[in-house]
Amino acid sequence: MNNVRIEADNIAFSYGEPRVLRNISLSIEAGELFAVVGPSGSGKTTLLRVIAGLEQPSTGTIRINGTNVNDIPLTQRNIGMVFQNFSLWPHMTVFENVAFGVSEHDLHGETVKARVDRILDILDIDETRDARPAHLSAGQQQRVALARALVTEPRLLLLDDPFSNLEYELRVQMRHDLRLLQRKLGITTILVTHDLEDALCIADRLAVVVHGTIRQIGNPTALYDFPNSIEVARFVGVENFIPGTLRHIESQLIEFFSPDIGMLRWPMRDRPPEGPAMLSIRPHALHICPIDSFRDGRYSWIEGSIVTSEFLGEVVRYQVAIGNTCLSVKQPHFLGSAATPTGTPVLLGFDPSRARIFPALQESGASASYD
Amino acid sequence: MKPRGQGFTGKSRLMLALLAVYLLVFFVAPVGKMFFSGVTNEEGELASGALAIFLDNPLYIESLLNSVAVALGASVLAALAALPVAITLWRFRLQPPLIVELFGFLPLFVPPFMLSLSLQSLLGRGGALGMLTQPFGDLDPSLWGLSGMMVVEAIHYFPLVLMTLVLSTTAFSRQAEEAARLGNSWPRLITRVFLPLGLPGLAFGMAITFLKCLDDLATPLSLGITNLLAPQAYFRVSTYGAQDPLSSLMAVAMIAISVLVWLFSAGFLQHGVSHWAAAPTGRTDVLTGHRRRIGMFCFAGIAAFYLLCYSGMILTSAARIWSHTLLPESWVLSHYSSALKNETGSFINTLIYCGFAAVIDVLIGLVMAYAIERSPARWKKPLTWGAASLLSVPGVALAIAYLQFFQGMQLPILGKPLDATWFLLPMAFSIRGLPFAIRACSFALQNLPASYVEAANLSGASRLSIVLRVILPMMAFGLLMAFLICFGIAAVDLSSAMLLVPSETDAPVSYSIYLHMQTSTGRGTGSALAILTIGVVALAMTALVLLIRRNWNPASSLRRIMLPGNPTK
Repeated sequence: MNNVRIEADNIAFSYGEPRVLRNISLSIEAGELFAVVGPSGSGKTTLLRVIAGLEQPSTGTIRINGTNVNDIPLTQRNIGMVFQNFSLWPHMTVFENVAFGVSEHDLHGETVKARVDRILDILDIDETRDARPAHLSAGQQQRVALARALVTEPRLLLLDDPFSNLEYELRVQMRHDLRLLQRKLGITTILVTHDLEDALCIADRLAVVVHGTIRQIGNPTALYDFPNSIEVARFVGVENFIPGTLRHIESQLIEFFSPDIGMLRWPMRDRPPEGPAMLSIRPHALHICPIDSFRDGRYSWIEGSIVTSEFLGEVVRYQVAIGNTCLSVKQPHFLGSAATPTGTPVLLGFDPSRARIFPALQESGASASYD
Repeated sequence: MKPRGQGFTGKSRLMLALLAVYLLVFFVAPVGKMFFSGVTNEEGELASGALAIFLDNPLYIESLLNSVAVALGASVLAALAALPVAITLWRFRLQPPLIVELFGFLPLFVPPFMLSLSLQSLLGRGGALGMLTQPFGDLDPSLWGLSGMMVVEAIHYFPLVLMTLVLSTTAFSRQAEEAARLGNSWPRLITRVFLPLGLPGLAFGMAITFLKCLDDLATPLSLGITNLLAPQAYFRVSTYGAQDPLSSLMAVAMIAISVLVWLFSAGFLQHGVSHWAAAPTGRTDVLTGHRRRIGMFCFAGIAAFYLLCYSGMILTSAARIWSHTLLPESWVLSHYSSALKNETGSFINTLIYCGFAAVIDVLIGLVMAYAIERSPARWKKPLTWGAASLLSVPGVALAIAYLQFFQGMQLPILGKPLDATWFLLPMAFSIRGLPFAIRACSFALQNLPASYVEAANLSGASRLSIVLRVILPMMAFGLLMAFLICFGIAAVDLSSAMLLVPSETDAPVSYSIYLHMQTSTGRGTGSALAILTIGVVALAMTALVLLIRRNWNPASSLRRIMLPGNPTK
């Protein structure tokens, strides 16, 4: 464990108007793998560059172990970074690329060689040491970029969407290897990615950045299960949003009315404000039953009809018309079973505890969800 | 996300200030002064005296019209010759190999008067072909007047027009063939696909041909033609001195015509530049069967034609006596030894002037490319096209502007008049090569994405180490291209050289060749010198091909640099 703690306090940054980052504050614990996720253009890479020192924040401070590093030159921060395109110098061999940083540190030639050999060995790329980057596969290039970032024994490792150039299978393998390596070295790491799956798989905690502000920070399961805003919910894969009106019936019972789905009632401990609201539910939290099925009292039931079906292998994705709304539903595929035909009237059931309710007119930055 | 690091730091601002000073002193101020001296009297008041003299003299009006007619005629002739060849290459999906593509740009690196002199040797009454064709009439271009010059210039610039035409259409030749197989007729594909696609390339090739012809001083003089603007301006300066308002007016007229032509062609260019970037390098499609035979026939036919055209010069360079016989009566190599022995000075002069100009171009081009790269998006396009428009400044006009502006100025330390030294020559060369230098330097900068330098910075390396081990090696290829192109363009800029060279001992090779060829006894040495020069250019081109092939990013580098507006990414 390298015991390096990172804090960002009220960071703002702009290239002009509008601002790219606004009031970003976060704290990353020593040895933690912290992911920053968000849609394209949300400002997550800029945040990483500000932390690296590649950009100067307009306001706010970056502290490493409590020390303000805003004025420390880039070359003295001792930060390793893997760029999205890997940025391996094409005229140097793998060995030269990796050794570039350490050879600058007044180290003896043998020490440099030993350090480089060790990191190449750890990353299992020692056989490519004399190859040029152009002759390496994408996976090998990523390992070389990682080796180059780690060989100087940095205090902090920054990864700028390092899996985006990899094919799916290699991507899965690489993130697994990266997680193991990060745990082994205990190095505090920040991963920026637009791919939620990457972040959920390997991060200890993650922050969702939208329009230059952090909307939610939490561990992967908390963030996935309890998004605090419509924007975060959309980003973590919630597809179904049903507009309606919320009313309190009793102390812990709410009533949600939508012209499309009718009246739904279920108990809720937290009391969301009454008025226009948005009910959200994930496609796989809905399940399809024949229209005349027994309606289990533990679930809420909505009537609809199948509009389209797409066979995706593990699951079948249906679009089900509910009044004027269309809901996306994912059902597991079972051996030999055919997809429900288009036009079939069906019942959609869902466990109310898996539905979330957001204020309907929620503006950017407001965050509250109810379950 | 916006591009990284927009805006300029203190050092960048200093570089931009130096750039502004260079452009002001060596371009804006001389050209501005020349413009005003053409339209004002000695008291500095607006006057139409020079204009009235110009309009009253039929020779000057004739020269103006002739200049436009010859330049237009040459570009139309070159286009008419290039179109069928380009259509054939497109029809049979014949992509020129990299070496052919490079040699297509050779007209920019070899002065056209060499072709003129070679054709005179070959087709003249005493020449090899001239003797054979005598019964059918005189083919000597010096006897045809303006038509002769049109033909010579058209032959000289034909490869350039062909290459720009091919490059703007070749990317879609495969789709055209597939469309033809699906039932579309070739005439329809040519009119609906080839011509619209080829128009930007054709416009660029024709514009360059026009501008070069308008500016050409040595070719008309070698053909004995003087009723053109460039020779008239040259004679006025030689006779009445640099401050002659009429020569200023002629230079201004040349600039005005050039700018108009450039603007006209830029209108076409802007709509088709992306096709050049998309064009393949020509090494992906292996030619087989009849396509291979047609390709060989086309390329070999063109090569043989040019060999024949230059054979007059080749034979003269090795002939002791050659008159009224098919081939020289006896052969010698003494012209070559004489050229190498006596013209060492002109070679050294060329190295100094062109090397100096190319170094300035690379430095200035780098700053300008950097400024364009860092400028706000809305400025990028006007700046790119503005820089490219420097192509439209004729060498004769620039030389006259320099002579006027710097006359009487003393060179610091040496205490000599500036116009009595060779200093102005490389400066004029550098302005002329700048559009190409900016393109090449943009290419060099784009070979070095910001993240590569950032990665080096994060590794803790010193600035010197980053410059020496990362920045320079990654930009080396683009910078070398910039240097070679600017050197080559400067080496053939005879129009500026003829006006700015202070004495014959200070002459560069191209001017020495011209001087030798003007004397009956010097033709052998002049021809040998020309062959040696063309040989050096050909060697440099071949080296460039090898360099491009060895480069880690071989994608059609030269075309990305040579063709304006074409994204270098």
